[in-house]
Amino acid sequence: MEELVKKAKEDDEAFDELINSIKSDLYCIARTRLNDMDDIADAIQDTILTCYKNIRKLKNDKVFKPWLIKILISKCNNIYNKKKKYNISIEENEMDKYIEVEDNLEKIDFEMFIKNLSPDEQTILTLYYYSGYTTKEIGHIMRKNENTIKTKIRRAKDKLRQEYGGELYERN
Amino acid sequence: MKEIEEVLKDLSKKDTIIPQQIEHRIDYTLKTKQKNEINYKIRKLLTSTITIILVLLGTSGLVYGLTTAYEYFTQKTAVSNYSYDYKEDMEYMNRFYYKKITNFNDYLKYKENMSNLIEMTEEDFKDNFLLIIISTSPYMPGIYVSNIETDDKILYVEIDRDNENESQKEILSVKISNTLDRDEIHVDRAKKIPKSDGYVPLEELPKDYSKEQAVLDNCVVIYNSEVISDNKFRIEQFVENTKNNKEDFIRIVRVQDKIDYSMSIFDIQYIENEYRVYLDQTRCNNEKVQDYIYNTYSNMEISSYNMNVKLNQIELSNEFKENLCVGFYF
Repeated sequence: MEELVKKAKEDDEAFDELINSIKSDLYCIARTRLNDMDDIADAIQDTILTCYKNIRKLKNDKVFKPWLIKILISKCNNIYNKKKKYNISIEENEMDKYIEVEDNLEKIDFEMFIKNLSPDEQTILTLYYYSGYTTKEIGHIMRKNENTIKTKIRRAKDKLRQEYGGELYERN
Repeated sequence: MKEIEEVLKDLSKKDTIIPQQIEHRIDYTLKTKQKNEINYKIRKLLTSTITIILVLLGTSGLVYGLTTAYEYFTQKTAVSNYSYDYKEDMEYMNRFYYKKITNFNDYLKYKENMSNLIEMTEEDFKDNFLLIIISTSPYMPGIYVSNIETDDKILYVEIDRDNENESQKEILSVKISNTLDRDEIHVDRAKKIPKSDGYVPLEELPKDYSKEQAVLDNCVVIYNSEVISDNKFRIEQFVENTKNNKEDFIRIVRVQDKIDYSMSIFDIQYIENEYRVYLDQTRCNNEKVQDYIYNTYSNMEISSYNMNVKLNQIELSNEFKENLCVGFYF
């Protein structure tokens, strides 16, 4: 990743490759903050453009991904707050239309599994389980204390336990 | 039983399917990123130049000059990036932003920002007002007002696309007589309801229309992700015909009752290079979606996913970045 970031600073094709390599993460994280597909696309688009504009200023290539996720979260929050401010209805979760095939948990995916949690809890679980960040790194990304992140993960899991009760997860 | 921890770990290993709409936007952004960056640099250079020129102006004109320059810049930026900057100032409805302007001073203010507004004089505003309409889509081809109607309270403005218009107007401005002025404005896409031989309009189907009747009516019926009518081939045939630019019509009835009962009836007609879809969701238990929805799309795809078995998804999409999932079937 670091090598690719270094190349991406000078080469457009490497930049495209870099973005394509992390687009799943971007989508999953944006999905935890926003429901409307247009908003998610707007947030990701804004994030890519900001990244393109500023990537050369990034001194430490190691922190590229957390840096980008921070930008994404900020873009998502801006869109959410703007909609809220102007009283534009925050649309029903568009993924609900996919639910009919997800009627058994063998077919369910990560984001659907956690979709009833709060946006913060969803983002934290996504970063922790999906993107593989440590609680310390997540604390840095979300500008929160590490202990707060740990508590939020524990509470989120408690909520999931309550919601699913474990009954649907029989061992094979 | 698996612990939640284990479940989360298992699920996080699954591949994420990024919706086509998001993929398209990422591709588009990557393709146009350089152009965006150049525009940004030009704007930045312009600001610096204007600021330097203004600094050279006399003290008396300095404050006024700077204010004007600042406004000019932000407003000028908004022209090329209207989708980000103008949203705050306009009303939003049905994927359009609109602004009603009733006086000449406001008009001048907007004209500075939107150079392609229709010409109006102070005199014109005595009997007319101006409506500015912007689509939310960055891929918007030419738009025009196809019809204007009113009732006691609402002015209905119908917007259509002109696919052959290569000028790709981004901002639409319409001079409207005050006699049509109403308390509310309703902006929406023009509806072209699908029709074919022996077509029974969706509104005329009985409220208790059943999947069994739909099968008898030769509809393609998908019940809990299984096609229960014997015309499954019609789905692929329809897509193939339309890919070959052959006009065709299909009615797909999607019924599901595992979680909650819902029946969605999709009338899809391919005509004049577009898919006109009229969707009846009035038989769904979910009150929030009980409605008729009309939209047009430019593409229809059947995608296959290998879950435990092969699962097909029928999806429509358009240049407005809108996707419609017609259904899944095994």
